[in-house]
Amino acid sequence: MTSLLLVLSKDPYTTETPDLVLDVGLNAKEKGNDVALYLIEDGVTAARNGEFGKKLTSAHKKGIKIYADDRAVLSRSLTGKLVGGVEIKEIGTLLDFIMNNYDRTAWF
Amino acid sequence: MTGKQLTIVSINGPYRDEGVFTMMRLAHAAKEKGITVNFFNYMDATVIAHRDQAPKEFPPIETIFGNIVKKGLKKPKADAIACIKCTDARGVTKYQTEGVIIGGLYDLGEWTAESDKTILIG
Repeated sequence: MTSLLLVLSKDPYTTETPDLVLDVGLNAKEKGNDVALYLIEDGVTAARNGEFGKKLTSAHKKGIKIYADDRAVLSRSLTGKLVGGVEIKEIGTLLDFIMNNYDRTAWF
Repeated sequence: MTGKQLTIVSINGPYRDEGVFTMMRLAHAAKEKGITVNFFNYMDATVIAHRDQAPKEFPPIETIFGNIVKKGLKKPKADAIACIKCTDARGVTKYQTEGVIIGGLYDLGEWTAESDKTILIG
């Protein structure tokens, strides 16, 4: 078992990247790995209340931890507008995740 | 001081998206935590440290990047390499900001081997 940090910086409306990332995360989780999704830059829009937000809620219920970058949320006026289960974190926490908490980081 | 080392490989140029600024934020956080940062600027990211950028509506990324690299002369340090094939292709080899070394993928290989973690921002 390994721990995998997926960093998503793309929004779910212009590319299929977020769907790919979610597929990777769910597959890794099904195989018994510890998986977290960190939303940054335009990636935070994936957690808005909407179709993709529902997918994230479902992934969270399956055990994938979901985080969102504080500055990206603030700059897009998304405070209080994200689906449940998403924890807001600052950049130092992302760095700690990369350096100390997760074996592998994949940035999309 | 943690004594840890992080290599950040960047492939995108400035002003297209927030990727370069995210890299800067990570680098600041790393310095605060005593982590040594290596920047490997690859492909379009070799434009990040190109001198004399004068964007009208954005902060000049060369200045921000250059300041981090220069301040990194103190520990915890920050080193920067720009890929020579990429800088040659873009005509920016001779115009990299102070502190950026022209290198190649062998250098990235060495940094990857030395570093605790290597990430690619793209």
